[in-house]
Amino acid sequence: MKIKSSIWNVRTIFLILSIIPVIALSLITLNLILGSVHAISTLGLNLFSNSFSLGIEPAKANPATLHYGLLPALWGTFLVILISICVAFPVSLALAILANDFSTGFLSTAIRWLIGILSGIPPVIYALMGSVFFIWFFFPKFAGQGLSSITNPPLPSPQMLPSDASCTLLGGLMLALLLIPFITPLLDDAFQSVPATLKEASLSLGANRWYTLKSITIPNALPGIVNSLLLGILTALGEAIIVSYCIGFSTRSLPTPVFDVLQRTAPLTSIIATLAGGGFSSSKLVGPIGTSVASFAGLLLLIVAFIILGVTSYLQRKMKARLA
Amino acid sequence: MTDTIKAAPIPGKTNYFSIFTWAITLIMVAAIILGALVLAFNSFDICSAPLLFTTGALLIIIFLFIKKSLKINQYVLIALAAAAIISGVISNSLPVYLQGLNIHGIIHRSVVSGLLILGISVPGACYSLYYALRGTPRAFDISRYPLLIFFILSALAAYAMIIVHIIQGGTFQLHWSLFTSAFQSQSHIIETWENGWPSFTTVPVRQTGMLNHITGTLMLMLLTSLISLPVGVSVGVIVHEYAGRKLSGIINFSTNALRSISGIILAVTAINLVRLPKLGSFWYGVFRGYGYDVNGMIQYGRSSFLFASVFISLLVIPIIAKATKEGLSSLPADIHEGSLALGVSKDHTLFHIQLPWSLPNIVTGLMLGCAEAAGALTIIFLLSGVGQYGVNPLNETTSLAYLIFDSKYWQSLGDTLGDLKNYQFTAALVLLIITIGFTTMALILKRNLAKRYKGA
Repeated sequence: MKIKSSIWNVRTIFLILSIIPVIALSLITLNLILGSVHAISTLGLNLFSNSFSLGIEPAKANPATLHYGLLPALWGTFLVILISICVAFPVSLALAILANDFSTGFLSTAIRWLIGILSGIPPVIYALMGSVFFIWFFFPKFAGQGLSSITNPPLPSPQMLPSDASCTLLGGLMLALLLIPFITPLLDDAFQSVPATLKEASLSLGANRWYTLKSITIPNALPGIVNSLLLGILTALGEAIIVSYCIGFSTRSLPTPVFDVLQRTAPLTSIIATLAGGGFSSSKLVGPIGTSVASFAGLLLLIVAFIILGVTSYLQRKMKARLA
Repeated sequence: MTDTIKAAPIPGKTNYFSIFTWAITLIMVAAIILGALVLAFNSFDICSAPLLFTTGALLIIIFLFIKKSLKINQYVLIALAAAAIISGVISNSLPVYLQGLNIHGIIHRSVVSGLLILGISVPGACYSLYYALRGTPRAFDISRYPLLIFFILSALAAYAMIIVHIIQGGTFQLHWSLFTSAFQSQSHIIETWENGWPSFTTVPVRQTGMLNHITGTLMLMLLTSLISLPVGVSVGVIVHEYAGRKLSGIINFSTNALRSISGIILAVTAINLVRLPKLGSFWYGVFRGYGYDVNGMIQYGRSSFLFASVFISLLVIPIIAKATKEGLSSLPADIHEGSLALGVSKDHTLFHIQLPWSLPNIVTGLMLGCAEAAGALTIIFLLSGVGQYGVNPLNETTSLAYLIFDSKYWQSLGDTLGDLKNYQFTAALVLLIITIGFTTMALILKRNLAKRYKGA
């Protein structure tokens, strides 16, 4: 009988294969850190200035003549996350409440199936439909022309909306449609993890379902709700396809009233796509400093992602400890 | 919370209170529908001010009726009615187009009035339903349904519009040759000899079709699942078997992090990597992808299918790992321990008990991963091309998702997509069928898994 197997047994192979994600993540982090050194040393605090434009990089780069400020992109990221979470989170909350506490049997099963199927829609479909929604909704509402132009009075001023069917509000709304099937299962899990005994005790004491939801389910599921909110923010932060398609690839400066969502304020991910870009004709102008700025912006995203992931893993541990 | 209506219905006498409150509830529901129509179409804006005044008057009447019959002062109803009348005045006095504050665009009045109508008629419907159901605790629950259902229907309407429009636009110009011919836009150089001198004529080779995009999508799915299946399964096994150890914690965290960090970060790394090899070297061809055009010349792309699917599989590995973990932890402990107690080695148990048990979970994860790979564009949208020089693992990456994305930026990306630009909805329909098909199959499998033996 063989007592000791060789070193190259199955477990070693499994261990080696499973280290691949760790290696990949550390290589990505290392690449971003090493790539952003050039930008930080050349530009310094100019990285956060309020002007961004692509131009031919001179061989001897003077930081004052380069416009690689990331402030508009950071503001655009904030606006997009704000719009999309404000739309998606109440809807997901309503869906999760209806699936869990306010219905049984067919309706809750139907909602879970529907959300599961909708989560298979890839982001590029939402991006494509963004331009269709723009023609249906944004032109009649925000430009005074389009489908309902026959019945409308003539325009008080020339329309100023971007001509290529894109604005910040549109990007945020389409992103919200992507977020709803992502957040709802997380909220569903959070509500399901509340012990049924607590809910049943509350209901048997004569409290109605809304009161039980308000005073038992939501306080007990609060770590899970915050967890799903944070993960939703993380997804909205990192989404690149919808925002590039529906908002655009670059922003020169902050919008003139800063809250103007009818202009194009491209978020950080679109800026990274422009600067790092493989095939875009404008990105052929980008020199080594621009590529390095892309790495720096990626590093910012990575740091925020690690912070949010740390908080969510803390919350998940807290939830597990509460259940045990 | 539960001010139960004491006036019980007297048999044989008409119950005016019930009839009246039900009528008002129906009017409020109609107001919600009209509010949605005002938001959708500019021409419905005519009815917004009368609707708001009517809603306010009805809310005041409910307040008076409840005060008279039940001796209860529901001041919330008065506040809601005041808000309705004030917003009616506001929407009546607004100009048709709002301008100012340097906002780029002019906002039609119906946006404001539609939001005001919805904001007043949804709580109004909740309150009138509450009193129509005689104010019992159960009625309080039921009166919250309009609020929940309003949110859900407004979201589902958007999804329904998306799917209906894609089916409509995709089938509008559909013809079969799109799926049987590959897209081509090349120029064939023909050399002829005249009087001892060579003369060259270029013949354009053009073909419209999306066969190469469809096969490219399938190729990405195949390569991604081949790469990510062993890694994902082994991550799941290691994390499950050595739970609590530091190494498995690190593996678990970084696998989850790969899924959660932005795909564009992976894309930046991919672009930096694809720029590394020198032109003409072996790795240049492997990373960039190459094919031969009609003239027999070698053409390099932006990245090969193999290179792209290595990076896409970083997004798919977490899905498969999570599914494997779930499958392994759903194995009843008595089966696992029974196998070990009979003297079977751990590896044998792993391969003959644990992995066969979690095979359906792994297949579910693989299907979700395939749907992800078909729709994954964040990594490859900077690294793809038309893919007209053939589809094999070392050719230039292309996929349906990229075709859809490129149909807007076909000029800025410099690709000559030409006629294919008109078929973006057909491409979207095919992509939607692939991804939703795989997701639905995975859901059906998962549902069957829930019915499995769960141990004693």
